[in-house]
Amino acid sequence: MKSIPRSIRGLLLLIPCMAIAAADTPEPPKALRICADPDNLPFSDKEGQGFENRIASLVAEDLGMKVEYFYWPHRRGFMRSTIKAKECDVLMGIPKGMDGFLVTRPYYRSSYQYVSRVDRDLDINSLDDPRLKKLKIGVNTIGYDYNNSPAARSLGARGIVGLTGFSTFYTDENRPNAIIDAVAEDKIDLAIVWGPLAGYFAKQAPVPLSLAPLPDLDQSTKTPYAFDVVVGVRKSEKDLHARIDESLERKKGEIAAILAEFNVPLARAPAAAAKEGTPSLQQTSATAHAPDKLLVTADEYQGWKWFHVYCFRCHGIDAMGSDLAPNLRKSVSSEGLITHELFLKTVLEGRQEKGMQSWRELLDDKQIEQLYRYIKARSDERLDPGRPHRATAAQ
Amino acid sequence: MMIVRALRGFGAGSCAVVLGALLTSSVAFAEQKGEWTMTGRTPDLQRFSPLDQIKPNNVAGLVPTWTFSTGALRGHEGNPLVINNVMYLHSAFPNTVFALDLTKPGSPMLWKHVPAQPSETIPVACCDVVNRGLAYHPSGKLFIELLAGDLLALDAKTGKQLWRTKNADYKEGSTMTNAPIVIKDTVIAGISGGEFGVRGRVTAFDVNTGQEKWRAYSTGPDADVKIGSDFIANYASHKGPDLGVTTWQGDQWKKGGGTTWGWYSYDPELNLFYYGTGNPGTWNPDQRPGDNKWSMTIFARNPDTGQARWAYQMTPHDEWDYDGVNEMILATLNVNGKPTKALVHFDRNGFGYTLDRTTGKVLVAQHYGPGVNWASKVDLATGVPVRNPKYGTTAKENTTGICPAAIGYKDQQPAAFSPKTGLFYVPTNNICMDYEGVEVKYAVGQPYVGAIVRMFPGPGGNRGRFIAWDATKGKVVWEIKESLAAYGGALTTAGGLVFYGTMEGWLKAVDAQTGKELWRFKTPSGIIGNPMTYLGPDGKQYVAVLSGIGGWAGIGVAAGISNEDPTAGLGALGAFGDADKFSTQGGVLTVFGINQKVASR
Repeated sequence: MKSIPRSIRGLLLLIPCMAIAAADTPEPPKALRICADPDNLPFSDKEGQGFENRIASLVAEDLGMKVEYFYWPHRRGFMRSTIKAKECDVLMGIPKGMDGFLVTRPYYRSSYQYVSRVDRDLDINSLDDPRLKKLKIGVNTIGYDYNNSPAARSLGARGIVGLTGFSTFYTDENRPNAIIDAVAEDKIDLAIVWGPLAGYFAKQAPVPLSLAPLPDLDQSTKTPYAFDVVVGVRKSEKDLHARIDESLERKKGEIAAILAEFNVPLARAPAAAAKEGTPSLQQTSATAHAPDKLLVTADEYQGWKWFHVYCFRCHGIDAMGSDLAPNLRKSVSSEGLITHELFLKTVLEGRQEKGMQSWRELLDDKQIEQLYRYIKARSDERLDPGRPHRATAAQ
Repeated sequence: MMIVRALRGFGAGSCAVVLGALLTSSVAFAEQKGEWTMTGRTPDLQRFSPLDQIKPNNVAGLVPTWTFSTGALRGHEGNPLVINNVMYLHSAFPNTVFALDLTKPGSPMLWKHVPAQPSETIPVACCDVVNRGLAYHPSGKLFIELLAGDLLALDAKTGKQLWRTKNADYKEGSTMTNAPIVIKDTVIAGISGGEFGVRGRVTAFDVNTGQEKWRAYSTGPDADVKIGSDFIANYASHKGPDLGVTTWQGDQWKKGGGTTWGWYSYDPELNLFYYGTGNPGTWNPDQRPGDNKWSMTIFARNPDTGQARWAYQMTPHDEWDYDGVNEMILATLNVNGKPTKALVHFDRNGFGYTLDRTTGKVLVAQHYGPGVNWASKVDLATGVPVRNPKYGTTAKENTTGICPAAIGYKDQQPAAFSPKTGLFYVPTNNICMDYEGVEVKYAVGQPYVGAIVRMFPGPGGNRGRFIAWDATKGKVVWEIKESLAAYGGALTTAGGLVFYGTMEGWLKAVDAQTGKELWRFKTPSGIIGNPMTYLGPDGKQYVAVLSGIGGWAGIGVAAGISNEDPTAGLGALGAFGDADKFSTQGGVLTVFGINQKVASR
């Protein structure tokens, strides 16, 4: 267990608490009860904007369940207060290898990243690069000591000390983006950051940042830097576990799209993991861009085009709504009533009583799905109003 | 009937012969010079009034004398008519028609007529639910084209319906917005719907019965387009049978657009009426290889038969939505040293054209706006614009920086011509765009736009200009920069003034010679209508204008569209997204007269 990266938000701290009671009620749950951190973007937040929130919703919808969150910060006592207290049954986004749960197949694999400014042209891609001794390097830390980052271990073994620590105990002042901002602002030369965190915030940085993966395993210290990420389910919930596991397989395409939206740098899956169904998008040179809330996938772009030759007439530009038809950004949001399935059905068949026509003649299923993706991106406020553009260098 | 007035503007020297020829068939109009009996005052669409009480040295005394609300809050294009001391006024959808008694204080309502129209029509209108006004027949009939697709005839005395004839069908995507024209005992109506894959046409009806006399299509075989043996084809690209079919791929011509929603003019001597056709359908050029005739075309037709005398296609194979529907102003001009029966047209595509209206030959074609980049010039030998392929468009990518934008350097806002100065007064836009085609399917009654457009201010950053234009040379004589598009029409008078409105709501009067601003008044809403002038029963000159922002340029305010997305409103929001900061909805007519005390100060 000592190989688990501590900066996967403190989950390592929870391991001693994982003796979960196995005597639970056997009733099939109607709600997917998720234990999550209320303030931990890009993973989760109280508004459900994190990618783990999104994937949870996707799975719940697939299983015909409702998502219910029990929010508790990822700190000492997380397990005790959440899954152990039976407040929730499911933990999204834990590294494969943690025990105390039933774990699903991995649904993504990422790795730690070297993050630096493109204009610095550092091009660091080895822990043995001699320049590391002279650079100011930032790492995430957990708690109040600075000794438990895997990067700290690898670098310490090479005589590189004096790292700059960025706490993962988030407060109003201490934000998750601080470590990436420090790179962007030239306060530190290099950061070594867990992939999803690095990709998400680097994309929003005001200057172009370069991401490069660490090796899957630092041989000299046996520290792993790439991890399969799985869903943990309370041990007693065998049926639920099996259903989630199947759902992850069914929804792997949509999960990959969500991960792409969040600019999660995916690690090449080891052969074994690939068999288990991990999305294995190959990571190439990952250069992050200035904040770009107009960057979309090809499908979302096409959806934007359909929307703005058809739907905007009644649903308003940007799906903002008009006197004639509702604001779709609200309708498809987590507060709204329009599920993915209902959206597709409504566009295809129309709602004559509301004046909504059937679009069967003009749009096929694939095009309607593209339309949904566009509106969802707007609804999620990931996409700014205006002309979006397709991701180019992103993948 | 209104023929003589039409010719008044031709200038003293050159028109004596013409006048003589026509006097016999006309009633005397001397006492009626204070009236405004058709949309452009005279069938030449000059928007010139011989009234001269209001002039540069007293225009400062112009004050509002009464106002009238139409009760509609969408874009108000067009202008009222004044006939026999009654003002006839139209509104935006639902196209209410009012008769106002000018002989009584405050001009009370004589009648109003609210035509029944289904509200489902609203989303079928491309660019706000505007109406550009009424036509009048001396037998006491008024005509209005209803958005839902019916041509409505009213008794001008009572406001009672005389007849109502279906000419378009909103369920098929065709609507009606333009002012019809009355020629002899015929009323000619057009259709809108170029964004719905309709097939453009003009249709003539008997003023007394509403019975169709003929219909001439913009696309299709010569028999449908009414091209016969006496058709003049001046250019190689205009020669050959059935170009309305052969310049399209497959049967695309059947949904090929070429709508007819602009202003119609008429030359009684040549017995030809003139109008332009709109964009080919769809906006995505990849789906319709070929010249796409006769979209984007100026037509001269015989109003009795509908037969085309000549046609000139300005923008073959349009890739930018440069509808050719803007007004064709008829005037006699000295072109290349010869008095010429000219037709002057300021096209959306950025060229100001001067044609010989007898033959249809292009005499002058010059950019009237800055930075036109889709075509460098029009080759006068071939009649074809010389394009810059860099600014061609496709569905494969977004083409950026095209000038002018789809809305054109000028759109529907009609220009005016003063025979006194020999200049054209042209309200213009200064808007450019990015344009990306979208591969769209056709279904009856469904939007068939096929492009996403973002508009933005053109060179200089000002979104409009009001210019004086010498059509004999193709040159700007003076220019007033406007912060917003000058999206309302122009009026010029024998008093030496030019009036125009702005989208902020200012009505301005400028000196016709110099362009110097002499007066302005802020009306309740943005102006996209056309100022007009008339003589009241008290013998005094009045100026009237509708204010009520909307139309394509003002759709954001009119329809309450958010300005977050610049591609909205068919792209207009990018250029006018801040419209809600300078104007709110309205539908008010303001009438101005001279206050002698102010004038003499």
